[in-house]
Amino acid sequence: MKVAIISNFTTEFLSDYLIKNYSLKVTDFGYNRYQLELFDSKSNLYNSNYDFVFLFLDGEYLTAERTLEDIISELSHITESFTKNSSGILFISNILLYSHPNKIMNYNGNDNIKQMQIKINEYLNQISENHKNIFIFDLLSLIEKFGYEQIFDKGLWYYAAFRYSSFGIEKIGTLINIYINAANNISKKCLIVDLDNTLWGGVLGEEGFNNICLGKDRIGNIYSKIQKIILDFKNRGIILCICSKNNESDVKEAFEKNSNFILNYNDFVIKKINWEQKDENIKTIAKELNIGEDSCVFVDDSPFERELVKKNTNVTVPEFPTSIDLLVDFWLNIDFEYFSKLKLTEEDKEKTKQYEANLLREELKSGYTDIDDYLRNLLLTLSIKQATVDTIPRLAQLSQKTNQFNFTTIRYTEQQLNTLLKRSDYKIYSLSLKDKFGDYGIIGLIILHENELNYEIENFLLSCRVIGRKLEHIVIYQLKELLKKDFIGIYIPTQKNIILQNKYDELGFVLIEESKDAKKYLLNNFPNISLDIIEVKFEN
Amino acid sequence: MKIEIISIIKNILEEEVLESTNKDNAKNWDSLNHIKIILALQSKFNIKFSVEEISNSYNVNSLINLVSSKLS
Repeated sequence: MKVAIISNFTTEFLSDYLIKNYSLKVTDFGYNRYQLELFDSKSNLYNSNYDFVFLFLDGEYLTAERTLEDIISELSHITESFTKNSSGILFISNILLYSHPNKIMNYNGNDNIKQMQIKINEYLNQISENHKNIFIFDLLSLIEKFGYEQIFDKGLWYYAAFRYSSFGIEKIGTLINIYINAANNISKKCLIVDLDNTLWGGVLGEEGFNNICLGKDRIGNIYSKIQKIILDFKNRGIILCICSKNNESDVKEAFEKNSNFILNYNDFVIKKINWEQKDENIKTIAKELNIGEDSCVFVDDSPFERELVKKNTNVTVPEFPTSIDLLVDFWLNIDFEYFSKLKLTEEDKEKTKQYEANLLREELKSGYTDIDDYLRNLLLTLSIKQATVDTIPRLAQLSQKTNQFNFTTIRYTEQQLNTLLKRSDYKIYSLSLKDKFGDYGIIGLIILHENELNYEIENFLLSCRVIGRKLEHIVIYQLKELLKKDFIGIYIPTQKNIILQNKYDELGFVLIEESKDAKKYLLNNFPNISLDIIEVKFEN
Repeated sequence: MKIEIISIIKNILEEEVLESTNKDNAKNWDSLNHIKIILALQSKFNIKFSVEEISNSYNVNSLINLVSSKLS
């Protein structure tokens, strides 16, 4: 992963910090190179294919002796050029135009430098809304939080056009790292919370559901605010779970009868409310959700429980503040540090439902010894549809992300798929799946290339969430029935798609050609399988 | 404190540093490393330097005096 920092001042020491503290591969383009690098399509910036480009614009330099129109036209030019010449992501820092607090004129007179700041930042927001590959780097909020005097350094500015103090470097560097993690989608997936003195004030078992501290007064409002923050996590696709030493019936009663609760009992996917050891409970939660322990964050006010979980699991356990004044900031910081995302997809919003459905599926599965019986009882419906412009973005995303059930691991961009869509010798099918517990959405892709004598399966992939449901049998059977020509299958082995090494044999293909990198198969005899396990809807 | 300052400078210059070391007798004391030294002292002692102080402190002795005057 390659990171570039460009700016209209000196940023070298910031890059240094990132390299030392986060072992990132950072290239700093040096003093005021941003125009040269961003406008020239043959620049080093574009030639080196950076994954992430951070553009830092010092407000004072940017606006010196220039009109707003001039600046906006430059920013628009930057955007266009970057979008055309780079496949990476551009983060642009929003602008601060510092003015002394006593300068009433700065808002109200002719010397409107604050108006200028607002307008430039508004324009940057617009840019980021209209471009999938451009985001705001919210430096301004960071400066608001820590203060101009602390983040900036006048001595170094006059000495070497370097803006930030060592404190500023540390804070900005941390923020850059969080943005990169968010962009790489390596934020945490699940929040596990304790209840007493975490979700509300006081001990439920001692005080009773009506007397715990939640809502009602100023201190109780702190816990209401925290519940709102946690509810917002859920709405952004973070899985919520409870791990608490309490009586389950008391907790249920509190959620139901205390009208100050913002969170619902059912907002939590898994609830371990018992007197077992918390480290064991938490291990079970990760197992049941089928996610790594390192994807979970556990919050508990008790140092004993935190230590136990820290010691025996890979779950992240943040220190809990000692004063309730700091609680809201503590939760906002958890949001920032562990759950930052650049953008929400439709899939994110459905996450809680998906995990709930999976738990129900597992429960059902444990009641069956015969896999076909289980599948029949899931009431699976598979839709095979020719791809359209609307489904291409999801199909491209699948082709980029799927590693296990992916016969050729050919990655397609949206553009490439759109091109294939227009060719008459290609057929692209999207596969979507439903069962009685929910809708998986689009979970597979098959691309057929038509030759004179046969169809070659250029790629066939299924999301790992639906492996083991015999979908591949049904898909091949249905397409063969429909298209009435020979089918050629190609398998290109990788380290990750080993589960497919005998798949074409299993599907009734025979090997006809083998080279160092690939195997070619011909569909010979489709195996006898029960076709009634899945209902199929076909749209050609 | 003296020892701490010297060790910070030594880490950045990656060469032997004494109280008498300055820009002219040290191999690596260029303007880039000078800023690194300033930033490291800033972060270690939680102090800031003015542009004049930065410009006039290209030797270990003045840095030590500067830091101690800011801390007292």
